[in-house]
Order: sequence, then C-alpha cells, then structure tokens
Amino acid sequence: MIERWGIRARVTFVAFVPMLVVAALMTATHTGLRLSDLDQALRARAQAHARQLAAASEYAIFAGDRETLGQLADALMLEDDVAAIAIRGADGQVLVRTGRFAATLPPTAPYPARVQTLETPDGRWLRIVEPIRPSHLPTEDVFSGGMVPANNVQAPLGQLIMDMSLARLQQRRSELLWIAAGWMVIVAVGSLLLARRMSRSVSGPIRETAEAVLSIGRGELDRRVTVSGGGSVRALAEGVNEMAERLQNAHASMARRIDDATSELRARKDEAERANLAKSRFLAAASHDLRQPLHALGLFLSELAQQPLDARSRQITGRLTASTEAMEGLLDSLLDISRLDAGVLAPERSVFDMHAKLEHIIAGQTSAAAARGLELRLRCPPCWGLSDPLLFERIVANLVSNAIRYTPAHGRVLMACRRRGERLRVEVRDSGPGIAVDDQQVIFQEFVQLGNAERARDKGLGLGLAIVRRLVDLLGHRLELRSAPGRGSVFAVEIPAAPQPEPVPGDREALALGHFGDLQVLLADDDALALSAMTSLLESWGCEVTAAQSAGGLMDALASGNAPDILITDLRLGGATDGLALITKVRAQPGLAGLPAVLISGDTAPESLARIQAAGVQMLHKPVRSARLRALMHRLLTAH
Amino acid sequence: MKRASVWRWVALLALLVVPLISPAMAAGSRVLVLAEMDKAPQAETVAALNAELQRDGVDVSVLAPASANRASLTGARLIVTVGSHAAHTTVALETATPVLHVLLSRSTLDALGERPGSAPRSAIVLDQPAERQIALIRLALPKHERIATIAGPETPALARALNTAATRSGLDTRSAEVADIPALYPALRSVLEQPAVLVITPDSQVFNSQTVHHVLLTAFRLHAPVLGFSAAYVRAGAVLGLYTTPTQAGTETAAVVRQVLTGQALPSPTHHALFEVGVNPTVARALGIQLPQADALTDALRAQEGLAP
Repeated sequence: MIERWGIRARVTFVAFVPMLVVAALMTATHTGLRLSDLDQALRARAQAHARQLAAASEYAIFAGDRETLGQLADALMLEDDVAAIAIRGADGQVLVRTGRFAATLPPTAPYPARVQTLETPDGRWLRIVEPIRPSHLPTEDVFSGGMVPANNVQAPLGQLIMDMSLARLQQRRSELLWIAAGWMVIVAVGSLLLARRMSRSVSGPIRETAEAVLSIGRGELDRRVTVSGGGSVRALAEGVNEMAERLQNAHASMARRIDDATSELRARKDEAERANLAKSRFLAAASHDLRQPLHALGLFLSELAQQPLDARSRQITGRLTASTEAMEGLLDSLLDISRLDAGVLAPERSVFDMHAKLEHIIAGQTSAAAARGLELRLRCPPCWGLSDPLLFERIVANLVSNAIRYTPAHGRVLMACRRRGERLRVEVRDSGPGIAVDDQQVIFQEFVQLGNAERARDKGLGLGLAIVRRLVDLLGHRLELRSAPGRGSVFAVEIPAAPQPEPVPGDREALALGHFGDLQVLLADDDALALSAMTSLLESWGCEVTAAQSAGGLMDALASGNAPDILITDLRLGGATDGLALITKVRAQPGLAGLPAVLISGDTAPESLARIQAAGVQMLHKPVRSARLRALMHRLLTAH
Repeated sequence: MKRASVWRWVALLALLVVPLISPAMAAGSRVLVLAEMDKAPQAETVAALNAELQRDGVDVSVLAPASANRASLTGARLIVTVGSHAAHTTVALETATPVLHVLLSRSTLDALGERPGSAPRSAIVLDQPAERQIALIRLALPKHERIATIAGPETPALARALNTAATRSGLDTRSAEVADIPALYPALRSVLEQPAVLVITPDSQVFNSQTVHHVLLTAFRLHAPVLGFSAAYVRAGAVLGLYTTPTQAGTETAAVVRQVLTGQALPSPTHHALFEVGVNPTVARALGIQLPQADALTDALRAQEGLAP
C-alpha cells in the first residue's frame, strides 16, 4: 500500500510517526517515572510519619500516657492522606485509635516483628504497621555483666498502625495521565501540522511541477514553474522551465515554418490554378480559333466532294478530306480533354446493347484497320451494359483506335466482351509491341506517345488514353492494363451488366440520310467564311438557307422570310446577342416556340459549356463534320 | 581505635612482661585471672591489676571464662574472676583454689550461692555502700530531704539498706518494689510524687539500657534529681553518679591479691574503698540545682570516710 503513497503522504509519515513514537515513549517514561516517584514519595512519607510517631510514642507508651499518645496521633492526623492511626501497647491493648480504618485490610498481628506495608487490592488504602521499639542507651552496664537476655532488648514496646488514603495519589495519578494524554494529543497534532507543512513544502513544488508538466503536455507552452527551495526540487523546476522554453521555441519555430510552407503551398497552388486556367483559356482560344477555318474548310470540302470531278481531283479531294478529318479528330480530342477537365460532362447512364455498340465501333474502325493491314475482330455474346452509351463508345473507340495505330502491319486487334459476375469485361487486345511496366502509368498522361518521338501527327496527339482515363473515372468504371514488351497489350474496361430491357419501338429508328427537301434553315454566324461554307453545304443538301452574320440581321430576315424549320447559329455573333440569346429570341417569335435549334461553337471555355448545357440546347463543336450535322438535324427534325 | 581493643593490647603486653620481671615470686605465686578481655571495663580492670602486680613480680595468667576448664584452673595460688560470667564459670568448675570475685554486683554475688567444700572465696562488689550514697546526697543536694528508691527483684535488700541509711541521716524515704518494666512508670510516679532524690539501684531487671532513658526522663519531668551507679548514668542525664572505676577496681584487687600472696587469708566480701563522683551540670542547671564540682564532692566524701583525698 505504501508503494502507492504520494510524496506528501510519505513525507508526512516519515516526519510524523517518529515524532509521535518519541513523544509517546517520552511521555510514557516521564509519566511512569513521575507516578513511581509519587508512589515512592507517598510510601516514604507514610513510613517517615510512622517512624516519627513510633519514636515519639515510645516514652508515652512507657508512661502509659494515652493522652499524649492521642495528641501525637491527632497531630499526625492533620498530615495529608493520613486516614487512621492506632497505637497498641506491648500487650496488644489498643491505647489510641483515631480515624477510620480501611475495612478491607486484614487485621495485623499483635506483635509484628518488623515494619509491614500493606495495600488494599483496589489501591485505595495503604497500611503501615510499625513496631515501637525502645531506644537503646549504652550504659556500660558492669552490673548486668551482659546477662540481660537479647530478646528483652528487641522486644517492642508497642505497635503503631497507620492507614493512609491513596485517594489523593490516585487523583494525582489520573491527573498526570490526563496531562500526559493531553500532551500526547498536543504533540501529535503539532507534529502532524508540522509534518503536513513540511510535506507541503516538499511536495508542493513537485506537485506544481507535475501540474505544470501536465499543462505543458496539454499545449499550454507558456506555463512556467515557480522556482523555489533548493537542491533537486530547484533543479527539477528549472529543468521543466527550460524544457517548456525549448518546447515553446521549437513550437513557434515549427509553426512559423508550417505557416511559411502553407503560404508557399498556397502560392504554388494559386500559381498552378492560374497556370491551369491559362492553359484552359489557351486551349479554348486555340481550339476556337483553329476550328473556325477548319470548320469552313470541312464544309467546303464536303461541298467539293459533291461536285463532279476528274479522278485526280477526286483523289486530292479525298486526301484533303482525310487530312481535315484527322485534324478535326485531333481538335475533338483537345475539346474532350477541355470538357472533361471543366467537369461539365454529366454522364447519362442507360442500358444499351453491348454487342450492337461494339459492332458499331468496329464498323467505324474497319477502314483504318484495313488501311494498316490489320485483322480486326470482334468476339461478343449478346449482352447488355449499363453506362453512358456515347461516353462508353468514346472509351472503347479510343482504345481500338490506339490499338490499330500502334500495332504493326499484319497484326491483329481483337475486341472481346465477356460476362464476369455482375459485370461485363470489354477487352481490346492487340499484337503490338507491348508496354513496359514503367510506362504503363505514363501513357495515361496527356500528350504522351510511346514510340513517337518524332511526333508524327498521323499517330495522334497522345490524348486518347488521357481521355479514356478521365472518362473511366467519370463513369466509375474500372480500367485495367496488362502488357509486356513484345507480347502485345490488353486494355480492359469493366462496366455493370444489365438485364435485357423491354424493346422500345422507334428507339433505333434509322433515319434516312435523304435529301432535306425545301427545309427552311435559319443560319447565323459572324464569320463570313464559315457562314458562306455552311450556307453552301446546307444548300447542297437541298435546304433553303436564310443566313445572317448577326443576330439583328437574322431577326430581320426572319421577319421577312418564310417560317423556319430549324435554327443553326454560331455561339459568338460579334454583338451583344450571342447564339443562346438568339435561340431564345427566335423561339419567342409567334409560332416558333420549340423550334429545333443547333448551336455551333468553337468555344471550349468551361463557363460557356456550362451555360449551354444549362440552356438545354443541342450543340456541335467546330469544326462541324457534315455527317454529324446532318445526323443531328435529322434527329431534331424527326423528334420535332 | 576502640577502647576495648586498646585494653586488650595492654593486657597482652602485661602477660608477656610479668613473668620476666618477677622471678622472686615465680614458684607458687601464680595468679589466674578469668576475664572477658573483649569487654572494656574488664580489660581496663585487668590492666590496672596487672600494672599493680607487675611491680611485685607476681605471675599473672589471664584466661577467658569460655576457654577455662578444671585443669586450667589448678596450680594457681589464687583465681581472680572479673565480671559475673567469670564468677559463674569458677562456680561451675568447682575448683578448690581460693577465688576472689571482682567487678560484680552484690546481688550477683548472692546469686552465686555457697561454694561446695571449704574452698575460700571472697569478693569486692561494685555496689556502693548505702551510707556513702546517702552522704553524697547530703553533700551535693542538701536541700533535698527525701530519697526515693525502687527495688527490683534483685535488689530489695539494697533498697532497704538505703532506706535505713537515709532514715539514719534524717532523710525521708519513699520506696517501691516492681517486678517488671511495665510497673516501673507507675512506681516512679508514685515514689516521686513529692520532691525526692531518686536513687537507682543496680537491678538489671528494672534499670537497664532500655529503661534508663525513660527513668531519667520521668524523673526529670517530675523535677527529681537522680543518683546513678555508673558514669553512663551521669552521661545519660543523672545529676549525680557514685561509682568505682574499673581502674580503681583493678588497683584494689591488686592490693587483696598481694595480701593473699603474702600468706594472709582472703578477707570477707567487701565494697570498694575507691570511688568517684560524677556530676551532670547541664541537667542540674535545668533542674535549678547548684552543684559543687565532682572532684570537690569526691574529695569531701573521701574525707568523710577518712580516706586520703
């Protein structure tokens, strides 16, 4: 138990117990001695009284003088504690008796040989029996010649019996005991107080130090210990203060460094954000500015292709178209990255026919594969997947396109789908050069192209896998890459499987890519070249185009022309009214509410894209491919 | 050094010296002294005796009574017993040698009884003659006209003699007889009822070392001067003392021995002729008594008895 005592209890114990023991011993010894002294003094006094009275009584007994004996006895009765006196003669006859004798004491023999001291068992009475002997006077008794018998010499004249009351002694004894007990209590209390004070003086600084250490532990680094006393306690307090000082300094220094680092980080983050923003702006501006001429170029080429040309011209036109499409593909990829980074792409999940989707993708890539002399195959059982069909198509198409692009001639590209539990695993395998493990993460970064150090543009921009990675993350699918140098690559995407949905009539209504006979088209574009190219294209499709370079012009033309079937407008119209506002304005015209409208824009700025999406307007990015525009127009007009 | 041992050495010296210096009386003049030499009075007496006999060349042998037997007693011309014990020893040994008892009281002598046969015996008793005591009282205390005597079991005759002598001197007498100590105080009160001189008789049954204090105190309280029979009495508080000292006893004994050795018969038992008077002037003053000097009284008393002062 003592092991668990605190410093204060220990110091108190060490200081208090020895003092108490010493006090108890001294008090006991002193009281014992004092009691013994009192007892001895009383007995000695009693015997002295008895001896004196015996001596004084000698002659009176010889003379048989009871009066004198009585006076002597009465005189002695005046002494303290003397309770009773009796004097007997040699023959045992009581000569004097005064006072009250203790009844508890046994009667004494008539002729005691020597002094007797008796005490009652209850300690209240003391009896002295003193023989009264004659005093011997040497007379050089030549007459007796020593013939006087010895026993005659010793024969007592009488006997003195004196009873002493011990009541006063007992009272004194109890007084002494009470005083001793009182002193003990005083010493105990005093020593306890002293011990506690001492222990406080010892444990106080230590407790304060302990509390200070706890406070410091809780983070109150400015807490200090009052340095007092000396020796180890002082050293401890000073040490704790020094420790707290150092902790505080270290803490302050660390906080400063953290603040510095944080502000630096914040600065860098801001810088990075600014850089990212600048990049986005640059991309947006670049794509917009590039799209504008490309858009026109595409439109002119489309129109050119519809003209009757000789073989050589047609071949050149075909090459031009291919180059333009490649450039458009590159710009699309840049645009996709921009949109994905802008976070404005909201996936629209639906159940789709996986087999049909993959076949559609294969169909789109067959010519490219054939051009490179590759075998492109599909292995897919009938199954249904749950994802955004368009985004999923972009993912797989990118992967297949990549595979075709990097697989050498006479290689093989296999697209396979199989069910794995509740998921569908779509794999794109190729017999290409494979990808080293170190490069397997790098290839998902933008503008990274393995084996294209010369950055041949027919191998793309290196944005395909970056887009794939972003799309997979957006859709919450799983992308897996297994590859090794020289052993080809396997890209796999896992999406949730879905049961076959009820067939919806007209869902897959095939739109006839026929002639837009007499279709009244409202067209607005601030770029004259683009406006001209678009007008030519639309007119080549049989449309009647009402074109204007500004919103005001278009509104004027609308007021004077026929009722339009569809509105096609650029986003930027060079005035206060942009494409979106124009659409709203046109639709506000009587009988034109719900007029199909297509917004064409080369703008890839996130805020613009977000605004367009919020307005719910169909949009095509520049450069617009004629086929895509045509398909959209068909879809809008059919729905309308 | 104690007085007793001094006398013992003196006696021893005497024993060694006597045979050497008295060759004339060597044959047939041997004197045997029976004495307890460890008792100062006896040793003092023997020393005085020896001192006297040395001059005559008498062959003196000292023998302790305890070691005496019949054989050791034979061959001596005279046996001198000193003290009562030695006296009783010679009686018990029934010797035929003439015996002289000294340093004993009349009552002791009387108690020895008759000797068997016709062996001569004599004594010098310590008891002062009644006439001498009365004469001393008349000399020292002329205003006192009464004496009081208390006779114990041993001394009725002595008391009677005192009374007779007192009456003859014209003094009143008061006397009492006591059988034991408890009767002593009433008797003292009785005899001292009227002013009187208390004369202590040498009765060891009544007047001994235990009672002397009380007797003297009682007499003092009753304004009665006491005449004691020893120097110790005077020291203890008796106004007067009349006694023969051991040296005087030895001297007187030597005179008798000399007579016997010169062929004379043993004299009949007698008192000591030599004596001394002791005075306690302190007690006398306390009692309002004017006393002459002790020497003056001794001389006057001796003069009355016709002795040289």
